[in-house]
Amino acid sequence: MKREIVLPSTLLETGDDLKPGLTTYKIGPNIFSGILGLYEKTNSKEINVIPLKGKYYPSIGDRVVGIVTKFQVFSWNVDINSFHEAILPFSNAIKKERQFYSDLNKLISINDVIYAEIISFDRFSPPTLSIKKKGLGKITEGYIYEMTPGKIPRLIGKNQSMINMIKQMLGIRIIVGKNGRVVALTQDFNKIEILGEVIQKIENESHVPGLTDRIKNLLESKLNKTS
Amino acid sequence: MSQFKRSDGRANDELRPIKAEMHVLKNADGSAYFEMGNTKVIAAVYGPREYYPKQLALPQESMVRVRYHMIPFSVKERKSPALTRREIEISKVIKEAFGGCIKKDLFPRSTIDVYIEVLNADGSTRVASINAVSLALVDAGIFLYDLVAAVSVGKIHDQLIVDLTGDEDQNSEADMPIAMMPSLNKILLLQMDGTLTVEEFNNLMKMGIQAIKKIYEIQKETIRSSLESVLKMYGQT
Repeated sequence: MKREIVLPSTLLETGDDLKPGLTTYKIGPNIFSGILGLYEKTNSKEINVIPLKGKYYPSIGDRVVGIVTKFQVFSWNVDINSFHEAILPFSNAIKKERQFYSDLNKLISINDVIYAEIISFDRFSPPTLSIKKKGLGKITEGYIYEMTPGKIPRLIGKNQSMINMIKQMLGIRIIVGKNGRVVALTQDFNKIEILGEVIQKIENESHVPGLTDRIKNLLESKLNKTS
Repeated sequence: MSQFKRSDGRANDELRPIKAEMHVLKNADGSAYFEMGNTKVIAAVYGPREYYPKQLALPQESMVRVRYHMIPFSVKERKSPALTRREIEISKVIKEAFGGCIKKDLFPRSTIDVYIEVLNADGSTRVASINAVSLALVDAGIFLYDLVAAVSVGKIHDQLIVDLTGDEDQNSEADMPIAMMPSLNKILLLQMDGTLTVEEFNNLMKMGIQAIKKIYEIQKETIRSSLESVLKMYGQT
């Protein structure tokens, strides 16, 4: 498992049966990288590069942390840190559609933070959100961090190993949005500060191997100092 | 012929010292600083972000907007801060050069905004700008088919030279900025001012492409070193 840093126009693979993904392009049988990122050889026929920079590209099924920016006639507009604002239709937010609401602003208003799932997105329509499923909805307390969306998989780790370790060691609940927003559900300012440092470390060193161990050491040393 | 010497003592095909740095501005999505001799340029990239007014956005691809600007103290006499005809033209030329290198259909209905500020002008500002923007776009994580490297070539006292300074530019018989995607071998910008014979043009092209390859290596080195400062910190781990 060796990751290497690739630049735009770096030759990745050669093969007629291979397909380019969102981050690569194909000329003849050759597949080149289109962005600055990390490339890891896999068995997949679709070649992709893990981006080191850049905005979030929505995909269906992703759970994201959004900030409500607008209250419209049929929907709320939500900023999801992407190139396009997402919409959250009222019908995807209200469970009992028959019930009458005198003021929808009381349900969700501008500047509220929501944890939502992307249920539809294509090139011709903006991403549509839903908060009907369990575990989704308005976030009423906590602290938001922002990081590069491409590095979120490193924060989560393989089989959620990294995020579970962080949650366990800090003893707090953390919401991770695929769009690069992380929310710590706690009022303890000390832990907020430690998590901020952890996220900064992942942001800076995501391309250096052995990240989990270094994060573990960092957490241990910080927690020992405070206790 | 051997009497000819450039004012700064360079060989005819020698570039000025180049310094480049990435991610110099925190607020921008991507930014870069590029220096060729006394020509100093800073570029910032925002986006892809939503285009306003929405009804003017393109339905199937993102728009690229470029603003090239020389700040008032960039030249010897104060320059008015308003955009001049020349600046508007260069903005358009740079925009069209990058139109061929950014994959625009990934982000429909959005815009990529590029701002270029010339801090100090000493010839070849448009090619220095292109070099800076290319790094800033990579910093912003935008899909590029290749990095864009650019250089200006020209003719002065019947001598073919590379990377003109301001003085050389003013006294030259011809000057020609070239921008290209070196590993794909595609030219994105080619302008010419003055007169050249076909033979001279071909020779200048060859000299320019060689110089561009040198700049391309410097750009790649800059990107790598911006990441590898962290890699070095952990040395052998």
